[in-house]
Parts: sequence; C-alpha cells; structure tokens
Amino acid sequence: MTVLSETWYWFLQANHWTGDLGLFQRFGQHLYYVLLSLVIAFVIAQPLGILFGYWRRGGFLVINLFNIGQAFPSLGIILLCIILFGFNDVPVFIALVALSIPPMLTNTYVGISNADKTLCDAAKAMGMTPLQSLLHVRIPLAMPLIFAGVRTSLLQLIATAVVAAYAGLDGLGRLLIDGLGQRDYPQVVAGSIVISILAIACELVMAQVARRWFRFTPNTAG
Amino acid sequence: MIDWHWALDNSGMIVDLTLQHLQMVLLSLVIGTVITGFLLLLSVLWPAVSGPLITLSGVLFTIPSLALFILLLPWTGLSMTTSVIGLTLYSLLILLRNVLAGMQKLPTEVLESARALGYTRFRRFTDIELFLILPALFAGLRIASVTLVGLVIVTALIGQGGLGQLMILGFNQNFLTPILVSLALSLVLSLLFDLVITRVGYHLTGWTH
Amino acid sequence: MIKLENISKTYPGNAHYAINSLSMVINDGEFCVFVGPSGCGKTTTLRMINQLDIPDSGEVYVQGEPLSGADIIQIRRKIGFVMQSPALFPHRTVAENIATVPRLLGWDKRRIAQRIDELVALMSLNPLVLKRYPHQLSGGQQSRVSIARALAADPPVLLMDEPFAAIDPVVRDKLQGEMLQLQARLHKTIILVTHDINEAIRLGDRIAIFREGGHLAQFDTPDNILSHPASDFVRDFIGPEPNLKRLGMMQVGSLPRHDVGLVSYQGHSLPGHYPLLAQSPLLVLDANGRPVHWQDETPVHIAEENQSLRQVYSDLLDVPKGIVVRVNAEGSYAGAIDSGLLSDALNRHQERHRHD
Repeated sequence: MTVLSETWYWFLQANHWTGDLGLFQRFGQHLYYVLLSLVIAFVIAQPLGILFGYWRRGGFLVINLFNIGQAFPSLGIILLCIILFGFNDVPVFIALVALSIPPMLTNTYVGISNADKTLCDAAKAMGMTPLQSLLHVRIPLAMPLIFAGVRTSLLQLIATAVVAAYAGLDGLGRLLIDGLGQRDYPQVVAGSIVISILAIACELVMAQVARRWFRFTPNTAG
Repeated sequence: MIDWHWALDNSGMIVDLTLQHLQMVLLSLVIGTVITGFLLLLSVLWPAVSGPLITLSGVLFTIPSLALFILLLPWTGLSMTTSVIGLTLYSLLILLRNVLAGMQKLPTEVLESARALGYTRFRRFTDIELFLILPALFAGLRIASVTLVGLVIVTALIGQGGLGQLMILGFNQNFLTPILVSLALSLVLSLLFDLVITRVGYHLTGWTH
Repeated sequence: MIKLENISKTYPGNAHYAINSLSMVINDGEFCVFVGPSGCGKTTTLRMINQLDIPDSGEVYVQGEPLSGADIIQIRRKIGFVMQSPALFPHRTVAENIATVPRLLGWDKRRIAQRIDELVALMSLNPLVLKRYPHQLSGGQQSRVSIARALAADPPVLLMDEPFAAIDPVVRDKLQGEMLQLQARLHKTIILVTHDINEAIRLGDRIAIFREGGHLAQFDTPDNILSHPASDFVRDFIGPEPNLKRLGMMQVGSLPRHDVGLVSYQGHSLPGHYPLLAQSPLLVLDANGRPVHWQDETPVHIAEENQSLRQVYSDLLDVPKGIVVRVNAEGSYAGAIDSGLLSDALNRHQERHRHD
C-alpha cells in the first residue's frame, strides 16, 4: 500500500508535470508518435485494402499477414528495426507503421469485399461505374469495419509506443522504462496509471463515435 | 545475418529460455481456463454478473500490457509469479470475452427444450452448456496462446521471462542474432500451441463433424 | 387431467392482455388441439402448462396439483414436450438424447436400454440412427427422435408446440398418421398447438379454437365445430368446404371394405370375399399379396389404413382408374375405394351427427 501512497505523492509534485521530462511533455511526444504513425499507416493501408477488397485478390495474403503480425511480439520487431537501421527515431517509426498496417488493411479488405452483394448489384444495375459504386456504395457500407480497423490500430499503437520506450523512444513509456531502470516505483506506477487512462479514454471516445455514426448500419464491428 | 556459432554455443540457454517461456504460457492458460469455468458458472447462476464481467474485461484489455503488468506490481512484487499472474489475467480477459459471447449465441431452442424436459439450472450448465461452449472456448484458447507468447516478451522487461531475455540481450549488445532467434522461436511456439490446441479441440468436439 | 383456472397474462409493453381470464379443462387420455391465428395466445397457454411461461394470475392444475408452489422440475419430468424445432442436443447421440429424462430420473442402464428399444419400435426409427448425432439425421427423423425423447419416461401428459410445422407435407402427413396410431396405443393426455385447422380436425378428440386475447371461441369435438360453429369467427376460421374438412377426421380404416377384381402375376384370378366396387378393373397382386399394377399395366395408387379421407378424396380426382387401393401395415392388399364409396361414407357420417 505504501507504493500507492508514494505514487499519489509523485503526482502531487509540480515538476513531474511540467518541464522536459514532465508528464505534459511525455504525453505530447506519445501523441505525436501515435498519430503520425497512424496517419502514415492509414495512407498506405486504406488504398491497398480497398483495391484488394474490390478485386477480391490477395485475400489469403492479407489475412495471413494479419495473423502473422499478431503472432510477432511487437517489441521484437522494433528492436530488429533498430539494429538493422540504426539507433534513432526513424527505424522505430518504420516498425510502428508496419505494425499498424495489418489491422486496418484486413478490416478494410473484409469490409469492401464482403459488402452486401445485393446492394452492389443494384448499384451496377443503376448504371454506376466501378469507381462510382466504390465511392457511393461499397466504401460507405464498409465504414463500420474500416473504422473498427482504425480503432484497433490506434489502441495497438498506444500500447506499442509504450513498449518502444525500451528502444529509446520518447513518450509516456519513458516513465515506465526509466522508472524500472532507476527502481523509481512511484514513477513507474504513475506512468502506468496515466497510460491506462489514455488508453481507456481513447477506447471510450472511439466507441461513442462508432455508436453515433453507425447507428443505422445493420452490422457494426465491435 | 544470423551468427549460427553463437546460437550453437548458447543453445543450452536458448533451450532453457524457450522451455521457461512455454511453461509460463501453459501454466497461465490452464489456470486461466479453470478460472474462466468458475466465472462462467457464476454468470450462469447469477446472470447479473456477466454484463459487468464483460465490461471489466473489455476495459482491462484496452490497457497496454506493460502498464497493466506494472499496475499489478504493488500487490505481487517483482518475480516470476508476477509474470504468471499477469499472463493468467490476460488469458482470462481473452477467454471470458470469447466464452461469454459464445454463451449468448447458443441455440435457444435446445436450451429451452432442456428446461422443458426437467433439467435444473445447474445440471443444464454441466450437461449441456459446458459442452456446447467448447468450440468458443477453444477458439479463445488459440487466440490467448498466441497473445500470451507475444506477451512474455513484455514480461522480460519487468525482469522475468523466457525468450524476451534473448531480445534484451541482443539489444544491449547491439547483436542481431539473439533477437532473430527469439523472434523465430516465439513464432514457432505460437504455431505449436495453435496446432496442439486445434487438435485437442477437434477431438473434444466430436459431434461437430 | 389438466385444468386452467382464470389464467391471465400480459406482456410488458403491451396494453392488451395476451390471455384474459381463460378457463378450460382437458380430460385424461384426451387428444386436445389448440388452434387459432398468430398471436392468439395458444402457444403461451400451452407453455403455461409446464410453466415455461408463468401466468400473471390464475392457477394451472396438472393431475390435480397446482403448479404454483410445486416442484416444477419434478413435474416437468412427468410432462413430455416437443417443439417446432426438434431441438435435439447436438453433442449427444440419438440414443443419449432419448435417454435424457430417464437419466435425470435415475433409471438404471438396463431399463434405459430396454426403453430405447421400445421407443425405436414405437416411433418407427431405424435402430442404426441410435449411434448417430442429430445433425446426421433428416428433418423427419429428427422429429421422430424428438417425440421419442419426450415419451422416454412414459409421461402421462404430452405437450406439442407446432411439432410438424417445419416438416415437408409428405412427411408431415405420415407423422400425423403415426401420431394417431401412437395415441390409440398409449392413451396419453396430449395437447398439440397448430395453426393448421386441417391438422386439428384430423388429430383432435376436441379442438380449442382461440382468438386474439387468448379467448376460447369454441372448445368442442371436430364434428360439433364443423356442424355447429359457435360464431362467425369460427366459421371463418374453419374456412370454406366444412364437409370436405370433415373428411379429414375420417380414416381409410373406417370405410367398409369393398374389393376390385384380383388376379395373380400369372393371370390366375384370385378369390375376393367382399362386395365389388361399381367399376371394377382387375388388379394384379404379387406372391405376397401386394398390389403391383392394374391389369392393363397402369400404375396403382395405394393408401395405408391411417390415411385421412381428405387426402384420399383429393387423390381420387386424378389417380388412374379413379380407384385408390388400400394396403395394410405390411403392404398387402386390403380393399379398394372409389368416390362413390367415399360419398356414401360421408353421407352416413352426416346422418349420424345430424341431430347432435
């Protein structure tokens, strides 16, 4: 129980919040890594997912990529990239982006390829070009799944960025890794609490967005 | 890329770490399954419990693994036990999610006819629901085993745990081989667990084929 | 006997009563059919007899015992229940499924095995299916197993909720006939819910016609309902051609036996002991006495003894020679029917009940 009260006191110290090593700084760094990686991965994964989904090719590859991606420990990939490409931020980014592509790619692929066939046929019958049917029918229908993919990737990124601190990345993970190294347990626990709140808050926000945007769609991926 | 000499020289350590990894995962899966069984029975006898259980596991699962393990520290201290407790918690989260969702998808007319024939609630669970939930349980075990194998790397950061040690070693020495070896072996372990669990599941659910 | 006393039930969110002050008595050994339009409360009423649904007010008595306050688990083990879907336990073999209630009651293995053999014979099941799993059986077989399971512990009461609704018409017809045979042997108290008035007429000793709100529009024998419908609702529900429907109550076996001329394969004429039909072409029988075809090689249409006359009536309209040949359980020749015979039978039946 003393660890908890020490943690409480840790939170009460102002310099733990401000300054170069403070919570605000770390929080900002973490968000920077997460959002930047998410955007880059999004830009790569979505077009690929849509194309693969529309042509229904490469499904086997995509699904298995996803499964393999789940099987590999993310930290391992990060450490690998660092050793291969050098000890700075870029390899870590590469690893983060690479790890967040599979969930979005797979979900988009499944969403586009499994779009309600009746509706797609109706679009074709109405004389829509493939591009129009894609834009006006398939993508809107696949939105719940596409969104679920982004949601999964986001949360995965938050977690992976924490662990990436071991590889030298800044961000909230630093509190954990440095704290463990220095045996500064209040810092470690405080960091974990902040990270947990961040993760849960993001999840709740995404859940709310999903519920409100996709209220009228028949099947919303959880 | 891989320094095979190093691998051969240290094969003893590699094997030890792999076995340690395997043991931790296996132990956590077994304990997790048993606790899941009890929680399932609980949610059957007191249906009000299942909603909060699902929500709680959802919330805990959202938390990044390293953070969750660390949050256990004040209660468990820094040791192998922490790892197993953390891993068991994770296996619980995954199994419960699968199993509780599966319970809602059980064929209602079968359960209703059991009720009509004169089954007590408890016996309906042990005689029927427990069997019908096996496919969902094994699907969950497959996911859980793969997840747990990956997580043991995280537990290495808190000081104890199988193949993650190799990764840390390689990173500290800027040496690629241990990292690759541990990645490869964790992949192999995942596949192994997946295969065995699928086989066992297949044999236990003879009526589905 | 089963007694419902002032049963009422509403469902939350609905202003109207699903069932409003219903009272009825079903006698021992009676085959009672609940029939009515969708939503009239017939299924809910049935389910209150084994307390799958609980009435908001009123009391249900089964064999004299009030259900509220009783050990419902024990009572359910003495009531067989069959649903629209066979609902067999997928993880157990057919034999294990049938043995469900006996196992709950603690019967020993030998007694259970014996009972399974009895039921296999009773329900015309192929003994080979005993070791199979439900998903390996056809719909009709699954239905039979479901009924066998309900009868396994020999309960005095059998509840059936639209058991034949999801079966294709040919098999349904057969199962209905088998149900009648079963009841003739077992004399259970059976309550069956259906939306098909013809099924009700064929099977029921008494029919309870429900209308919305669980009101009993009429509760009487099929004959009385057909001859004297209690209201316009009943009349509309029975639908057109009540006399045609009346034929549904009658079986081939109830007709007096008439013959056609008979010859053997080799062409020898065979003796007959019963009056001949008006038009009597020659029928070829094989060595076991089974009908093969008419002498001019046209195919012969046959009907078993428990076939409903309504079916025979419609068959007579387009079978060869306008004659349906009767066969017994072994498939051997047992007489012949033409439309004249059918009309006579119907007239006699109406005569008998004209003054009811």
